[in-house]
This record gives sequence, C-alpha cells and structure tokens, in this order.
Amino acid sequence: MALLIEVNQVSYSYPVPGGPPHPALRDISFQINEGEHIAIVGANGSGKTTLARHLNALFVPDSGTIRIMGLDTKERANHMKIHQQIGMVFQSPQEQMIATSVEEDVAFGPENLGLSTQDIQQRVRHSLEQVGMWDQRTRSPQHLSAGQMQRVALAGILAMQPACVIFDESTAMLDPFGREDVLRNIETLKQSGITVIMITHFMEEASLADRIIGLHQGQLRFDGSPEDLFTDDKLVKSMNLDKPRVLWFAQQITPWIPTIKSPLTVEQFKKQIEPRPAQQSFAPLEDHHFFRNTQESLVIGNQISFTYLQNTPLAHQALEDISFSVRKGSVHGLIGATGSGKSTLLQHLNGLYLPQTGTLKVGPFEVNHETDLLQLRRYTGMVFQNPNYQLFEQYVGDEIAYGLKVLGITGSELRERVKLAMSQVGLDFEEFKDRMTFALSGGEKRKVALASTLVLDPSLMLLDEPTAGLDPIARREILGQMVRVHNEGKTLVVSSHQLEDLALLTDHVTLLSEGKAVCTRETEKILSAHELLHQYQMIAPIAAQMASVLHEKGWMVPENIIIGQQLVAAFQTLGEPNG
Amino acid sequence: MANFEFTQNLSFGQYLPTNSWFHQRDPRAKILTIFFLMIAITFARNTYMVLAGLLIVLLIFLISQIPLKNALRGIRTPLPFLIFIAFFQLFRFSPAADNPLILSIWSFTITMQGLFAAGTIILRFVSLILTISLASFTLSTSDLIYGLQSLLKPLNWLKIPSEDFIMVVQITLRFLPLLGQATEQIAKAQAARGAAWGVKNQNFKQRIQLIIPVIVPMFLTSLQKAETMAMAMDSRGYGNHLTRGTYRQLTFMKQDGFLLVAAFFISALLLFL
Repeated sequence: MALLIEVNQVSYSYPVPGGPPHPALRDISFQINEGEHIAIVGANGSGKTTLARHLNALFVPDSGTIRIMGLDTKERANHMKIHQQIGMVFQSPQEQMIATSVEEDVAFGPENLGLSTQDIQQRVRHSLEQVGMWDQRTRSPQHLSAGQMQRVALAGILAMQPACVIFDESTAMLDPFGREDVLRNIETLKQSGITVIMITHFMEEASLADRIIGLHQGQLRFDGSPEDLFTDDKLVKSMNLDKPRVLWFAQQITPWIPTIKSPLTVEQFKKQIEPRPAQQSFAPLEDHHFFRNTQESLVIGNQISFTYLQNTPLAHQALEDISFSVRKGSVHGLIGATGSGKSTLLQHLNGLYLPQTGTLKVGPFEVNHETDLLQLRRYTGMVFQNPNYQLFEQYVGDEIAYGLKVLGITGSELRERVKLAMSQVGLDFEEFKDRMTFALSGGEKRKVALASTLVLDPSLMLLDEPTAGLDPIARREILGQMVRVHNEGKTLVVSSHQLEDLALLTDHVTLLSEGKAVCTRETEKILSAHELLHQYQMIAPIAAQMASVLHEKGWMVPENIIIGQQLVAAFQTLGEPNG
Repeated sequence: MANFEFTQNLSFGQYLPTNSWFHQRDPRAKILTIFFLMIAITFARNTYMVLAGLLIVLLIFLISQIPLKNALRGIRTPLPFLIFIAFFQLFRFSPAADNPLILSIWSFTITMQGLFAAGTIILRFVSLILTISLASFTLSTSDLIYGLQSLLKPLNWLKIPSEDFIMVVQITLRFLPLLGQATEQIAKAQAARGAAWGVKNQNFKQRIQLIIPVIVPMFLTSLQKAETMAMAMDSRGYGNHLTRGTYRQLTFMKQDGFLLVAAFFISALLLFL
C-alpha cells in the first residue's frame, strides 16, 4: 500500500496572549497508508482537532514535518494540491456552508480548482447523487437539518475527488439516524478506496475503524487496533476514555456465556453467541426506579400548536396539537428525530415561545400573553443545546452571576450563591471564577451553563441535549450532576438524542415526530420498543439492543431492559455460572 | 409579545420562485432593469414621472405573479418614518401667486407646492422600496451572485479583483441568517436567565437597554463562526490564485435583450420628461 500521510516528530503550540504558548501537540509521529480507515480518539482538549487540521495543511507544525503524498505542508505552493487531496468535514454543519444554495456550495471546491463549467456541473451532480441530496439542490442551507447539511458538506468534498476525507467530530451534533447515515457514507468511501480519518467521542464508532490513534494531552499514547486499545482497561482509563458500551456489558456477562470474546459492536456480539438448545428463562425485572414523583402534574400541555414565521412564505409548523404532562418531581425525557419539535416544545415551557393555540400550564403559571414572563422564567431554568451560544459574559464568575445581578442581588450574597452553584456542578470557585468563558473545554462550558441556571434555584429545569459533543468522562460527570439536581427535589425535562442517557435518568419519555406527540410512556417501555423507535427514526439504547439479541439466541432476559446494569443483574439472578 | 424571530420582518432575501416570464430572464438583464428603474425613480424631477415609475414597478409585480400583499409588508415598517419626513415637506414653501395657501397655523404655512412635495417624497420612497423588494422576490441569491460576477468582469481589466468582491457579497448573504440565529440564541439565553425579553409594557429606553448586552457576544460568536468558515473555505482550496471556474453559465437570449432595451428606454423617459 502506498504511503499517504507521513507525520514526523510534529509539535505545535497555540500562542496565548500575555502567557507562555499552550502546547497542543508534542512530538507526534505516525504514518497513514492509502485506503486505511483510522479513528482518532482522546478526551476533550487532547489535541485531536489540532492534529486533524495539520493533516490537510490548515495548520503548519512548529517543528517536525508532515508530508502528504510526499508534499511538505510547510511549502505554501503545495497547499492547493493537499487541499484537493485531503478533504475535511467539520463538526458544526452551519459554518462550513459557504454558498447560499446546496448545489452552489458543492460547486465551491471545483470552482476553486478552475475547472470548466461542464466539468463542475458533472461533479456537482455526481457527488450530490452519491449522498442523496440531488433533489434538494436548490434549497438554502439554513433550511436543511443538521444531518442533511453534513451530507452536503461531504458532497462538497467528494466533488474535489479527494484521496482522503477527514471527519472532525462530524457526527457529534446529529441524531442517531443522521449518525448512521454518516457511517454508511464512510463505508461507501472505504469501498471506493478513499482513506477515511475520523475523530470521534463515540467509542462504538471508533471501533469500526481498522486502526485507532489515541491522543492524550497532545501526545501519541496509542497506535493500533481497536481490540488492543479497548481490552487494555488501564490504558483506556489513563487516557480518560471509555470502552465501547457493548464491550463493557459483554465482559460482565461472559462468565455465563463463555463464547463471548470481547465484542466491540452489537454485530460482533450477535455473532459470538451460540443459539441455546433450550430457552433460559429469567425472573422479571424488579422495579428499579425509585419513583419519588407523585401523581400531581407540574406541566400540563393541551393541544399546543406553534408555527415559525407565521404569515410569511417561509411559515413552518413546528408543533401540532401537542398534549402531554410532566409529573412533579420526575425526570421527563423528550425524544424524536432532528426537527421533531423537541427544542421548540422545551422553549415553550419557560415562555420563550408562547403557544399560538392550545393551553399550557407550568407550575402555578398559565403560559399565554398575560403571563408574567419574568416570574415564569425564574421558576423554570433552561440550559440550551449549544453552550457556545449560551455563554455571553467574558468571565466564568460573571456568567454565573448574570441572573442574580438582573435580580439586583449584590455583594456577599451574590458571591456566596455563585460559589454554591459552582460547587454543585463541581467547579472550583477560586480556580474558575476568573477564567475566560470562550477558552473553556466543551465539558466545562456545559458545567458553567448548568451552574448559571442552578444559581437561580429554579423549581423546573429544562435541559436541551445536555451531553451532545462531550467526551465519555465529561458526559458521565454531567449526568451525575443531573441526578444530583433531581435528588434535591427539582423536576427535570430533558431532550436528548442519547437514549442511553435518558435510560439512566428519566422515568417517563414523550416521543415526538414532525411536531406531533406520538406517545408518552414509562421510559423502559418506550426505550425497549425497538420497532416503535425505528419507525420514528430512533435507535434503542445499546443494552436494549443486546437484550434483544440475547432473546433471539434463547436467553430470555426481561424484555424491558434498557440499561447495562439491568442486563448484568438479570444474569446475576441465575446464580454463579457453572457451565 | 415574546418574539425571537429577528429575521421575520425582513422582506429582503425572500426569493419567490413563481417561474414567471420575468423570473426566467437572464440575471444580468434583471439586475440592470432594476438598476435602471432605481436610478430613474430616484432622479426623476417630475411627480407624474415618479407615479409612472411606481405603476411600472407594480406592472412588473403583476408580470412576476407576486402577490402585492407580500410587497406591501415591506412598506409597513418604514411608513411612519416616511410620513415623518413628508410632514416637514408640507411647510417647505411660502405662499406665492402661483402657490396658493391651503392652511396656516401660527407662522407655519401649508401650500399647494408643499403638499405636492410631501406627496412626491412618499411616492418616491414607496416606489424605491417596492423596487428593492421586487429585486429580492425575483432575483435568487444565485442569480445575484452569478449575474454580478458576469457584469463586473470588465473591472478585471482595470486590475480591480471583482471576484473577491463577489465572494464578499456571497459570504455576506450567507452570514445574514447566521447572524440572525446567533442574536436569537443569545437573546434567548439572556431571557432564560431573567433579562426582560418579550416582556410587556416596556418603554423605549428599557428596550434599548436589552439590546446592548446582546451586541458584544453577538460579535464574538460571529467572529468565531467567521473563523470556522474561513477554515472551511481554505480547506476547499479557496484563494489558490488560479482562475476560478463557474458552476452556472449564463446565456443571454433575445427576450433578455428586449427586456433590457425596454427598461433602458422607459427609465430614460422617466428621467428626462
């Protein structure tokens, strides 16, 4: 196989104004051959994105060399060739769209190559057809879903006819179907001989690669096969990573099913289990949830409808006749594909939007044009999807204090309350209060956002995609904070694409689809209903998928299993394995 | 009322593809037609000619099959300002033999000429606003970009980089909705933590006070977005100093020529009659 990328003792530091430069990459060397499929993993801030940007000459190393097909990235003259050969799909879909229509955006690259009009048109058509977006070619990017935008971004790169495509956390902002879509496209690329490099926080995705490059604090810590990385518990832990959940759960039930050999994906898990000659039955699941919630409803929505840009040619109905309720003291989940109306519904609950028809009651408030919105918003705190847009102050301390200052609280009370909120989310007051908000890591930003809402001590907390884009450790921490907040007696409404998270947190879930509420049920009923989820473009949590595989093979585990611990507990009821 | 849809009241940038005869014309012909009309309406000296200009713009609306309702929405917002400006025109002239007095209050006099001047100014601005919205209803962004690109090409002979200018236009058009979204998100984030967005019974000063804290973070996030976009452009090979290719090839047909010639003569008539 021909050598594609050669990284030789590369180091790189970000300049810090008024301080020593921050080293992002330290003495990294590796090689990538043509046609390989590589995953780059590492905790938030480990240098993955910086490394990726070196691989297509967006950044040039401080020391060491990078050669792409033999071309040194330090030579400015080589950049054109390198940009054409190595394409990159970025994390945020919005900002990588340059033109104002899909087809023109895809044409941007070929136009830069100076091709003839006929050639460009051919390439645009071909690559848009490849990602299934040709029929949407005249639409404007801002009217596409995040998943569609990522497809267009990929088409824009394919139109350059590259040798290698880098996906920089391209799946982080997508719903499960959007993510599968990207993975399918990666598979097609591989088959046509294109080298794929993907950066990801999803260890399940990383285990699909032939080879993993692991970074930790800017250093190359691992370079090898996914199996070698994930079966080395100590190494995984030292890099602040997690094993793929399939492996985690499978390892714990291996004593009972000895044929299991460290599977990394559900597929592998399925292959490794022999069908049982006789069915093994299990005791039904004990009611694991400690229901602290009462029958009393805190939120009652009745036939809420909402249309964006009402009375304009761009009118778009986001909610249609939604009726649902949230019990006091519960953690309520909202699921549904992108564009199903989850965020819009959440933003109704604190009066950012008012229902255009229907009635909505939140705690003591009727939400309509007469509502005292300031009081309502003090009663319900909202943590938004993307913390980058949520933090608007320069320093962490000011950010968290904002809501209190608006209320006119000052002096030592302000300080104490900010301190308390920061300790609630695990941020050290002295260490963080003077840090710049924009320089925080993704996980830290979420914590600040959470603290800035907690500080107002709301009775109802609304959380929109609280774990999107976080590494496994940060994700677990945020989930832990949410459980704590709930235990302190607050009611939570959480929308998420991560059904695993909802399985751990929530007791009831409402499924939305195209602005309508499909159903509201107990979490374990809805998250183990594979067909229902699939029909509405969702994918069951991994534990539920594994339970259904076990079922097929004659291990009759309880059908409503949705979290791994339940799976393990079910096997433990069988007693010690004796073969 | 709580309204975070900041882009709602912009009538600009709302392309309405009705696929009419006017829509199908070559973008260059459309751009020049609108350009000629705007010049004519702005500089026409005669009130009747301004009125004729308005009628012609309305005629094109009819040909383009765009409901007038859409066009009128664009006038509603600036109307108070127009009336304000026109109001002062009323008192501009002193009565004379050929300028009969209509009304006098203290030392202010409203004359026939003043009334005429006020009417003309409203007419002129309404026509101009309608022409601009006509442009946005009938020119898609792609029309605008590829049309301008072709029209401005001669500037390259003067060593003026017209392509860079077009790219600036394109990025600006792309950035406007992004900016709107960023503003919306910041305002929402502040509202959720107690800023009085969307709260009833606010005076003007309170409203202004709300806007100021949004501006700085809006610029910051815009800069971040711009940085990412620059990187995305870079990684797709922009700025390599080769001649850029074009995705769309424009073909100028007889009918386009007809439109252009007609627009030119009508505009000339409006200007010089």
